[in-house]
Amino acid sequence: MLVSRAGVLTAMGVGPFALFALLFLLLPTSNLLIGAFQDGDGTPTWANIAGLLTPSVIAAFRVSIIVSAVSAVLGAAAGLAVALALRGDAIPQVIRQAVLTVSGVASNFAGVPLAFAFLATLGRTGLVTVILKSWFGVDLYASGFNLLSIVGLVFTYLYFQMPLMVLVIMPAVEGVKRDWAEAAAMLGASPAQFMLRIVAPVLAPSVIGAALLLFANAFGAVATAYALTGSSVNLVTILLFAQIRGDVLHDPNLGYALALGMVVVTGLCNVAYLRLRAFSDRRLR
Amino acid sequence: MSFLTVHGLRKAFGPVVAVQDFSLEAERGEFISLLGPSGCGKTTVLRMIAGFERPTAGRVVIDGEDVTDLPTRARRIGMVFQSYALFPNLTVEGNIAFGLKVAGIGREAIATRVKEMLGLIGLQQLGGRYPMELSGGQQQRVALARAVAIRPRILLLDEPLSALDAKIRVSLREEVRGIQRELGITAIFVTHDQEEALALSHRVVVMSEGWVEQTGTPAEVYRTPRTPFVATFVGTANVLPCRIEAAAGKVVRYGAARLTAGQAVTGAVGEIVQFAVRPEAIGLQRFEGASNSLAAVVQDTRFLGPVVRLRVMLEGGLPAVVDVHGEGARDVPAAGAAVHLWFRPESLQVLDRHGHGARAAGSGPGGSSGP
Repeated sequence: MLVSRAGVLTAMGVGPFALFALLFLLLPTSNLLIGAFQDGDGTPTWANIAGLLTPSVIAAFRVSIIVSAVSAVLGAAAGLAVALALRGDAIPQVIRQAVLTVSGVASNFAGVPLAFAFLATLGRTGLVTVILKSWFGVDLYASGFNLLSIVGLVFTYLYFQMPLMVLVIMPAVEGVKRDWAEAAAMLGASPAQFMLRIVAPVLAPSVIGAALLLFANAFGAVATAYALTGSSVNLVTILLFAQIRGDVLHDPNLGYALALGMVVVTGLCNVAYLRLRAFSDRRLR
Repeated sequence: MSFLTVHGLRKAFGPVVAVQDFSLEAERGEFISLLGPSGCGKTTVLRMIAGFERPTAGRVVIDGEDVTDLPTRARRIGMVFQSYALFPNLTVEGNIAFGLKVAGIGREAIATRVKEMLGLIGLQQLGGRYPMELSGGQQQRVALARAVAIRPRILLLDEPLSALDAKIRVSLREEVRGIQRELGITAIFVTHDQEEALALSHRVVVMSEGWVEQTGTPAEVYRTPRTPFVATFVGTANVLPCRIEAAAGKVVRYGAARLTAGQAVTGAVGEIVQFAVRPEAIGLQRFEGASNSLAAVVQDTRFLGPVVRLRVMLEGGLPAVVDVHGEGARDVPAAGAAVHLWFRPESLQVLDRHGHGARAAGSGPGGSSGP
């Protein structure tokens, strides 16, 4: 069969990505899917799936869901506010570009560097903590704040959740046309009525979709949480890490089951995000 | 006092002046078009009337009320946008009802009004559809219904037909005009399409580079253009620079040819004045009343359906165009043929030699006809 020149070029372009996806996404996923239903000897079993229902695993899922949901909701709200502020001609183009560039960088700033940055600023002896205490007499830790807790983790996650929200929601926010605001004003609506009756319903699918994406993003985060809290906060990712790194909790097949559970949760979030985004795009077209 | 008075509007965006000394008076029920090329300031004028742009100078008065400092939502103006600007989260009925809802009108009254509007635009069956489920023409009808549902004092139309294909444009423009006439609303229509402006309007305001070039009825603007810009933008015109033969006389000279104008030409003897002659006013044979004649050589011919357009070169090297229609169009001279162009004195229309003089004169309402 003859293969067209364009077909060959397309294959050459897509090939490396397909190979990468095969080696580092599809094969590992298949491996964990199979491993989740096997014991250490390779014998088929439901024991790993049943292990997901043990109290410690359920607690880990509960904490992960709480941290992810709270950081997603707060990140979505703050990111949406930033995106709405950047919309239109009110903000100079140079500031808008600067915020978007910083968002691009910050949304990918995670893991050990982010944990260190927060420890150096909001840790017990962090710069901001010390300044607040010595200059303003505000003792963060005496008031109950602890960076190495669920609240501290949520606070740290917001560092990448908020800019990610800005990047994800910006196209939808820019899809809110100036003509709509003018038409609404022409019809007698106040800016608040326009926001409530038009902008909010129009953006709702995109905002919910983006928040789900943020949830999935936080749900899968491990390096930041581990670097910041060690194993003091019981997250699924940290529990999973404990199963496969080879210490006393070593049980790779339970780890596969945990990973499968995470795939299901994040997969559902992503499917919902894509459907909501498609709906929003169709409406804004 | 006129229903709408726009006086001395000026708009500057930093060093760029978009609109200069724009004045207009419109009567109740009148349909006025602002006609000009892109960037001439026509949309800026409309946006100042709407309240979207704050004038650098000048006033807008509607029905005796000075609205210059009022926010848009307090002006009771309806507007139809080029992009339709329908709210995508609302159905057709929801869009039409929007202005009535924010005004706090009762549910039953809204339902009655929406039904009435749907009947007006002939979309009774599509009230439950969303904008994305409608064609461009249907969306623009809904936008029109939404704008007039609130019973506005003025209806502003910002190139509402530009995004539609040619056939729908023609049918929809008639609908727009019919609805405007039926409701008796004063309408200001912005367009760059001269045919649209001439076909729809009681009066046309021709604009260029922020200035009003001429205001008048479609016939006045077409038949007696005041400036070279109006002559060439509204239709096609041959602009001839002629020398005045006698003070306050009608006789001028183009090269060696003596021409007679339709009206006396003011100016000093020997002064150059520009004249416009429409291509369709020129004949290749002498016809009744055609006392002016110019020698020319045919450059090429173009078949345009109802007419054949000849591009000719006049003596002195000035290009001109001649439209031949009717039976004469079947047998036009070939390229290279020497011809004589004949036209009547009244077809030789004197143009203002000082553009700004014409602009100043044209800044007020020039036409006399009402709705």
